Amino acid sequence: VGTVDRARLAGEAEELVDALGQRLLALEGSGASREIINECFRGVHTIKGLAVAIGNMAVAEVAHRVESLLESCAGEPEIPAPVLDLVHEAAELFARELAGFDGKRRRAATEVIEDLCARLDAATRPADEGAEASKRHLLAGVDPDLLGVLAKRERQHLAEAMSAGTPVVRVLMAWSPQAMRAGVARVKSALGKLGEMIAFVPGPDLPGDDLRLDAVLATGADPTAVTAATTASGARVVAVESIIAGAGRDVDLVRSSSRTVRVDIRKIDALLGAVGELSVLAAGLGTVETGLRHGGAVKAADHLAAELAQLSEYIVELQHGLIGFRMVALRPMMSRLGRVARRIAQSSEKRVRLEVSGAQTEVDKVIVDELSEPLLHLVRNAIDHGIEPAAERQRAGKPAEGTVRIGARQDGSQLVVEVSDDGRGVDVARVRELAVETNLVSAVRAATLDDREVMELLFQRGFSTCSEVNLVSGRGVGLDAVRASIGRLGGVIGISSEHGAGVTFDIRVPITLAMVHGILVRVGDRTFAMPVSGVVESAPVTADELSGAGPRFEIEFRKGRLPAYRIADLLGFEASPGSMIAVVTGVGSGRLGLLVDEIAGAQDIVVKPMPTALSKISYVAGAAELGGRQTVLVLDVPALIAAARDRRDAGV
Amino acid sequence: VFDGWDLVSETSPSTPTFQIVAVAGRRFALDSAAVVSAIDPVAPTHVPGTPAWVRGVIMWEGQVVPVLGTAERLGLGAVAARQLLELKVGGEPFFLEIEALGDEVSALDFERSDQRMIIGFVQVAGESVPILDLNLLTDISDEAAG
Repeated sequence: VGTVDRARLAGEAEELVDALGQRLLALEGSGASREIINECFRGVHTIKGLAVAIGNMAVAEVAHRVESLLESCAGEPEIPAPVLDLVHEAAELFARELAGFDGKRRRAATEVIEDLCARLDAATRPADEGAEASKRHLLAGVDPDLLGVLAKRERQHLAEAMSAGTPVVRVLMAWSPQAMRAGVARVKSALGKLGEMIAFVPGPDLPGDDLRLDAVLATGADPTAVTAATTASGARVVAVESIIAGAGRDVDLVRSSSRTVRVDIRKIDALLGAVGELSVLAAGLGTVETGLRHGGAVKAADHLAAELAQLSEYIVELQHGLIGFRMVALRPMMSRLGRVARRIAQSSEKRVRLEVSGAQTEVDKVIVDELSEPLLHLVRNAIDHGIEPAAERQRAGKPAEGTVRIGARQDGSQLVVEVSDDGRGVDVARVRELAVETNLVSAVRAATLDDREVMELLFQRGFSTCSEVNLVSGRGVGLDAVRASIGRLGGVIGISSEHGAGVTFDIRVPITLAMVHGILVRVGDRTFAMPVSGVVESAPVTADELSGAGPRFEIEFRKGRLPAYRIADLLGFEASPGSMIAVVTGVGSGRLGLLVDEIAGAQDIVVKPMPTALSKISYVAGAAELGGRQTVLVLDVPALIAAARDRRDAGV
Repeated sequence: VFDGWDLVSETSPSTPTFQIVAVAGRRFALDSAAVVSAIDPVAPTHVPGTPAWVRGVIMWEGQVVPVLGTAERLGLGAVAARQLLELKVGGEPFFLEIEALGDEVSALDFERSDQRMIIGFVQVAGESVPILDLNLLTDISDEAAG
């Protein structure tokens, strides 16, 4: 199989696995519909064929067993959840092994495949022979890489602990070679006091000389206690993780791993049409040459001007056409997100429904890939921290099942994504208290912040409203990281919430990064570009509408007051203020005005990154050429908003 | 005498050669291996928050490239550039403002120097020409204001 074929097959496999994932979700909603089971069966059958075609016999084996399992389920009134889980697990294995295969990626250990096959076999047998199988179901969610290295006895031990409902963690430890000799026995006895030691397993290598040896421990103890006990025994604790599969690798599962896109033949034909016109144009330019040779310079110049105008039109057409090639629907990413969300809900033992709309919206593939991580984080937050347990919801008069919604739509050159839940919402008073407790703002300062500004604190580094360490999330990546990811895409994110009724995140990112629509603003004798995705609107400001002595001003905007800053002040250069235009940026709570002298126009720009030597200069996302060799800096609007906020928090 | 190969160029496999340039009426030597080409000056776009000797950036072959005011960087005052010299330092392109491009010279040895920005001196026609430390010269980060 050649490289190109591999890439094509990988893309195909990814689509097949996504389609299977969607059918499995449908199966879950509808009971054992014969029709959907048949569709799943056909999907798995095609995957099997593909696996054979690329020589991955292990995947073919698994696919074959999934076929048998699905066959044995046909006719049952409902497909049991453990069976569905197994098929989901197999689908994830397909995704990893086929969609991600680029020749470099490590294939799953043989034991993992064998184990999954064994569990599939066990589940396929009639129910009365399934006593052993039910024990295996207990292990269905466990990280297959871990199961692969456990001995049979250890696996049994693990299943027992899990059936007793004890959380099981993997303590990732790094050892210096000297410490390890005596340390392992000490760790074993120290951890034994906190719970039940199940196994020691080798860990993935770390850079450096440290050795990796991890402990698998069934314990109800707090991770900090586990860390303390381990550290006291001479090992460095890298992390304490849940052994539930993918708790830390969900992102890999949601993010697409293929670097290829499939292109609608009509898009290609349209481009070929434009290329055809270009050849006609080239012939036309030949007549200009002839004209010049025969002395008709003025006439030839007119002719040339007309041809050049045509030429730039075709170039724009080609450019837009090629950008169109990069556009893919959100659907596959959304369906992967749905799969992972479903598992997070399961392990959190909450009832959650994920509603997705606008999945047909087309966005640049790079944006889709980069968006998957922050979206996953928001969905995970919603399930872990937003949605209440069923009993609590019912007490509050809500349906027992919580809902997480992801809605996407295109708005001009921007993609708008709303992630909302109907959970407990944000307790603004509590956030205010926590911000003071964690020294994010002073008590005096906190008292002057309005609700909108308090919510904005949630995006600050180091802020967490959840003090308990949760095994599924709450592991370091907070909303600050989400905002940073969105910011890297040239987008913005805001939050709104009603205490007790849920939270809504509002995300705006450009549809494509290859070219952004920028507005040009003039400040003094300088011109800057700003991506339109960061701009809400612009309006002239009269002296009456402006208050404050600077650098923080306030302007009247839509019957409210909005903080406003001069771009010259934020960037730190001198410019005498002329007439004033406020460019309103940010969403929801983060909205503010940036004061410029003039809007000098708008055009599509190709943003190039700043050189490494200047990459520390914040506020600048890159530079773009406007034509006529004029280069402008492209402002990093989220960074400007953050800078303005820092100034305000510092009381400037 | 010579123990500074690695300072001159990490990749230079043979006799080191130096490009002589004129800056603010003085002669300086640069590691030839780092020199790409010289172009006519282009007005750079100033980047707020950078030291005064960072003239700005220009778009060059699809990349955003910094333009450095060599004279000002060396403490010789601001001098208008006649040419821009394209360099690759650590794989990154830079333009240095220069007055004129001189000869290329080979030198088997040179004196070391403890002066800032100067690696040492190479003898050209009886004159000691300072060799610029390009890594230090192009290091914007240490003096950049966030």
